[in-house]
Amino acid sequence: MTSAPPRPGSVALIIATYDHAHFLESAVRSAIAQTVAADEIIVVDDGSNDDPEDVTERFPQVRLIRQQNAGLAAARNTGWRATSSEFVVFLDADDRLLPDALRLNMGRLAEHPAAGFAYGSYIDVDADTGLRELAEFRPAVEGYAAFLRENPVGMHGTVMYRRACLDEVGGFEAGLPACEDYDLYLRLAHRSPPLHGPEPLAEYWHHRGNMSRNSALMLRCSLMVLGRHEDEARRQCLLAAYRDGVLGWKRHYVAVWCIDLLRAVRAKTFDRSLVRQGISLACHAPLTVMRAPFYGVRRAMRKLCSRFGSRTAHLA
Amino acid sequence: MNARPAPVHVALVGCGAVAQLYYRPALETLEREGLLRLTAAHDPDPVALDTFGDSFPSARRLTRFPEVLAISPQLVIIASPPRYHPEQTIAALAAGIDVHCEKPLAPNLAEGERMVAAAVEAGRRLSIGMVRRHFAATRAIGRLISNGNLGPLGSIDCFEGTPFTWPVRSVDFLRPVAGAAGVLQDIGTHCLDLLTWWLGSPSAISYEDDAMGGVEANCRIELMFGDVPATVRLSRDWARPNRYVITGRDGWVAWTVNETNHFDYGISGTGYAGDLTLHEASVGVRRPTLGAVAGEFDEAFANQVRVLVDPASDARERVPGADALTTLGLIDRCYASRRQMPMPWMVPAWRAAT
Repeated sequence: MTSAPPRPGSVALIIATYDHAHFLESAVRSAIAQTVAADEIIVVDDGSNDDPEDVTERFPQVRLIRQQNAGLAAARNTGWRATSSEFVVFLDADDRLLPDALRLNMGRLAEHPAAGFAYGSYIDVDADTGLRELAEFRPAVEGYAAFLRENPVGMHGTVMYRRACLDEVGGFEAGLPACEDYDLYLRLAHRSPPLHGPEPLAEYWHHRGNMSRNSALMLRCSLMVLGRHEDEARRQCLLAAYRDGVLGWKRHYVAVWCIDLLRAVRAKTFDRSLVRQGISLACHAPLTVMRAPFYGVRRAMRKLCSRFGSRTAHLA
Repeated sequence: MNARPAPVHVALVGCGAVAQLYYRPALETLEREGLLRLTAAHDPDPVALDTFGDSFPSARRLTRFPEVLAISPQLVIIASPPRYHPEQTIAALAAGIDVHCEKPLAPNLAEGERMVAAAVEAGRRLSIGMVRRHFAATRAIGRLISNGNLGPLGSIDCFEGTPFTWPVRSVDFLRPVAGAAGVLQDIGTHCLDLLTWWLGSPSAISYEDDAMGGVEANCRIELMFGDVPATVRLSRDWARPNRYVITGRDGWVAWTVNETNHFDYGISGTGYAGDLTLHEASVGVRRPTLGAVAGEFDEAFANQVRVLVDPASDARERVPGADALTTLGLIDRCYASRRQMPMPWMVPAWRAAT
């Protein structure tokens, strides 16, 4: 934690990178191209095997901090603790900000000084085809309850944090293997209401490197992070939202695993890690796993209905 | 001289569309009349909270629900999304606070029963916001039916719908996973409440809608009130006549939805029908005369709260939470027996042509 008080109205942009130097230039250029210039741009190299300095040395306004590999959460913590700005944005090296991102979120946070963070919409970009699609925006109008039910923030790069609030909660939990951003949203949303706006603020680039996910690990982390809020949910009369959240995460990651399984079978790339994930999921969400075939059949039936018209409609 | 009672301290929970469009003017009116004072408004969304709070500068703006209970208002108005009604209502009642809950009382009958039981246990008042029961027209129609002025009833047809324009703040309003309410829970709650208020519980019910895994935008309910068949058709898709027509042996009434002080009344055997505009009935020196035209929608909406905070009001006008259970039970039955409604437009063109 820095001792100097944050400079009012200033914003820092932290780009954490691990073996993503080849993406880094685009991210840095998007940071520099903001309509409201960032006061600090910091690249945190989380012990990469490549050399991000090749990129950062070309941009005099960018500061590079190196550390031994400690994970994404630790790298982000290193970054924001090295800044002295009032607002902080974290960008992954393989994503890009849109030009108005800083201006829009700063406006929101300036208008509501109690808010801990603000977020917006984003654009999904397929790195192979270049296809762009505006992601569904989920405004967290129900504040903390919305975050108990699900994670309405689709992309971390669209989030701008108030530095003072990061100080209060201690930033990201470095020990978490995943879901460190969801954990932080929950802790911040609990203390102060989040803000949001529908404008797209960033591009989420989908490429092979960020497609693989361990569903079992993600479910474990999601439930652990959410579980810490059960008592508070009860106190705030939000237990129903909490239960929806638990069920929602189970359904989501079991569905993701099922899709991975089907893809692997089709592509004949089935391996033991999928079996291990399945066993782990069955331990954490036994009923959901048992019901998965039913949900699958139901989804297929709905697809058929919408394709050929319902039986009732046909008979009519 | 009687001392004027102190204004009732009221807190409003949920500053969304219904609060902004309807509760705000109602509370402003009742504050001006000295009947209540809004001491706090709660919403987790600071933007909505500020928008609402700007009309009530002295009210505290709270982003957490427990803070509302901590300031111990005498009455809490729950205008949050329906999925929050049970927990918030039960907590407020347990804290010794009267609750007025916006419709629907709860997402299902079991939750509604929990809320009503909590009110009984806490010895506090739980009322439900069924604004249509505060219309002069619906009261008059109910009295015509119960007095037998229409004779034995033959049929009831309710056809209500408009394109969906409610200014929702979030797509959650239409997402089943977020507890979204379809047209049945939304305007169907009003419709079924009126029918059961006028006619009692139906003996049979069948239901179909177009939900297909989402929330229903159109639905059709067939009910039997004794031997009287009733058809309810509701839509969020398209403008419908918005008429309720009740036909009996001796006459009929036709009411246009949300016309608070007006309906059509036909008298069998005369060949005549009239459009009735309802006035306050005032008894003159020698004979009854027409007073002012009965209240409009805003007045009816404010009356829901007025009857809770004005000691001079008629307590019989309050709608107790328990009254909502019949409707909740009907809605549960509808969803439990849901069938998909015929949708010929879903059939591919090649099939439709054969």
